[in-house]
Amino acid sequence: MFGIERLQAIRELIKEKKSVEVVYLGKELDVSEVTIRRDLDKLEKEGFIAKTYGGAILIEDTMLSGQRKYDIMLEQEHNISDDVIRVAKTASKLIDTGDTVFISGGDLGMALAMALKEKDDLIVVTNNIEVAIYLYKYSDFKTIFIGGEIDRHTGNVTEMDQLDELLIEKAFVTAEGIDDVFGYTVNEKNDVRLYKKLRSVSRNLIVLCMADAFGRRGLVKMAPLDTIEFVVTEKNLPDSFKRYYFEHNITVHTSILNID
Amino acid sequence: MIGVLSMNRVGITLSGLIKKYNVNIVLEVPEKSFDTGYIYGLIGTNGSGKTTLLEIINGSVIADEGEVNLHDLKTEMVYHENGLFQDLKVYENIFVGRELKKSMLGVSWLDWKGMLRASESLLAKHNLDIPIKATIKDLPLSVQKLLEVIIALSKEPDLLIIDEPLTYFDISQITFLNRAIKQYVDQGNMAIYSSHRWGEIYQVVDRIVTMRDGHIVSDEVATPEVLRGFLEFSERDNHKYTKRTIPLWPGLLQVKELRTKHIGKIDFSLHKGEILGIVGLKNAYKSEIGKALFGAIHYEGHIILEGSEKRIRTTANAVEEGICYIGIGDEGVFVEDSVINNVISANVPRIRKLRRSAKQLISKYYLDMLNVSSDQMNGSINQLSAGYKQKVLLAKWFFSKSKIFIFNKPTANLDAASKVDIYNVFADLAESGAGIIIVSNDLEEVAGLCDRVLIVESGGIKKVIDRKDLTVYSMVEAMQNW
Repeated sequence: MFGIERLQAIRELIKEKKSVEVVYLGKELDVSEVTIRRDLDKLEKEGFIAKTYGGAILIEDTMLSGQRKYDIMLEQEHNISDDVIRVAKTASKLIDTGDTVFISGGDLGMALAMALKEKDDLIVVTNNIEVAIYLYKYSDFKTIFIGGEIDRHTGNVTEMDQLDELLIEKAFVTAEGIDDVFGYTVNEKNDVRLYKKLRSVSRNLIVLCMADAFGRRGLVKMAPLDTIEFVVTEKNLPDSFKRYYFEHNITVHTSILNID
Repeated sequence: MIGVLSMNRVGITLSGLIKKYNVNIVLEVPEKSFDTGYIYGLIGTNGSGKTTLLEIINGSVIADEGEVNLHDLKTEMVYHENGLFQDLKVYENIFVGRELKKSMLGVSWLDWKGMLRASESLLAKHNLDIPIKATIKDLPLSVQKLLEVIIALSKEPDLLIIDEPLTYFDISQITFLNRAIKQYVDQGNMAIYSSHRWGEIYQVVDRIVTMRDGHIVSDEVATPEVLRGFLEFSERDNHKYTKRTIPLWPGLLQVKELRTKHIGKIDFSLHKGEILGIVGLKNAYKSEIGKALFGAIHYEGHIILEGSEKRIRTTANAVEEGICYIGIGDEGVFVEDSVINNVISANVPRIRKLRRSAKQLISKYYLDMLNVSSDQMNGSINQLSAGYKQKVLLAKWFFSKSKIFIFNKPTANLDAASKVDIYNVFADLAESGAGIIIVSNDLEEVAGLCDRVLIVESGGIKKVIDRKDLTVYSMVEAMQNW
């Protein structure tokens, strides 16, 4: 977190100007050039910029590693925003070495799969073909893909019986809508079937959602509000839900400080 | 104990009770009695029918079938929800519905002087230090709850029912409440406590009644073994506190032979990423440890930060070394000043040399990060609630690049929503490699958040409890020497 506001300022400046000079940044932010260079090192590691002589340029699809290119392509294709990535990163911090986890599809599931890179020794179970391909290509986790027909829109498969043979430590599910009357709702009946199956084979269920899902309602009821013990979301979820969750002994994980 | 036994007689008899909401049976009690002279602890998860049962006994909810025989006992119930009139004063609340009157020649009027006097002596009798002319909404929720119990007791009921009283209490308030209830029941009355927080109240309970799915499933004498079993069971199920798996790196802070006026030679360390709890009963001088590290009181001994020894003479020294302290209430807040000025008030070189516009920009960045809206940012800090004041203080210390965050009772007086935010800030800070020290009276919170806990007694460390052994029970046990 230290120096984070400077990093953020540099990010904003580079985004705006496409390229910047160290001297300029040093003056603008009132720190030494050594400090600026160190910051630029960090941003380069993130894959955000490329350093040049005396400055840095914004990376726009040039000079990227295969995996980073693929990540960016997926992020664009799935419309994965920075906010989604942040929720996924927070979720990834709930995973311990050696866990068996379930990840579903959608932008949050995809972003979570990408955020698993720093983990060791996981078994990842998924019902989504793109998540499965991503993990197969870019991770050395044991990956279990449950089979069946692939839905054209979502990339999710329809067969779930294989889940009966597994014991999942942490299952990450997503919801389209969350409200105090109908609880967690989704748009696909299949997601409800999946949820019920996961409920019976998983030790912990964790719901991933963006803040705009609160107060919205999907087409089908998935689960009552007090039945899922962990929620990972954005920091601006409504206070009434924070209160509800706390009083019902449910953990809310949000990333409040922008730690990278 | 013969004397005590002779005081017990049947107080409440329930028979054939059934309560439905729509088609769902929420309560079914075929046969059950409660005796006077006991404190009953009613336990069960949310939705097990505890509150419905209590409301039926109290007469505020009518059962669909069955009978409640109170054997002429007078009941008083303190509800989970706040029952005080928020805009009235303390003494007005004490006499709501039973105002004292004076009359002369057929004309009667309210005897305010009498009520003030009676209120004063009531609070004095219970040793409760509340200004009687204060408006209720200005009092902390925990104090309001204590007041509600005292008001209920002053109506001299034979049976006192308290539903989920402990949500807002710290350990000293619970000790207070326990003592008041014990005294009351020893006079031959009866009390029913309902709670899902067992750690702190089980010391006074005589019998434990367990409910599940609308049924009473057991009623047992509260022996230490039975209680321990219940406690461990109920704590295993406690996961509302945001706790992430964060690797700890030693070497952030080492304290050797720390001494102050009230602390005698203590040693401890704090790792990067660690949340360290400091708990103890009243007069343990637990806050002094934090204040010494922050340079707010004189100390002797060694404070070693990331390998090199530092002499911290003043709070300014502490801030420059990256140590910050966030106290209770307005401690550390410049109440007259604007929100932004409060954020930039840490006097470190890093901030001093920034231009004013840059200061504004960076303050806004931190405040925005902590969900403080721009309207709130532009106002005076005085208009903010306790939760937001705390956020402004946090922003100030982020700005000054603190590495060690010392919190004194961080969530006292915060509402549940602000608590959720603060717990997530703790987790984020720990992840960033900072070390956090929490001095707290809320044992449930400490058990939920901390990696390690120092139990402090009269200025010394009595015991250190690691996360794997950390429960409310283990802390209470260590504090009270059972």
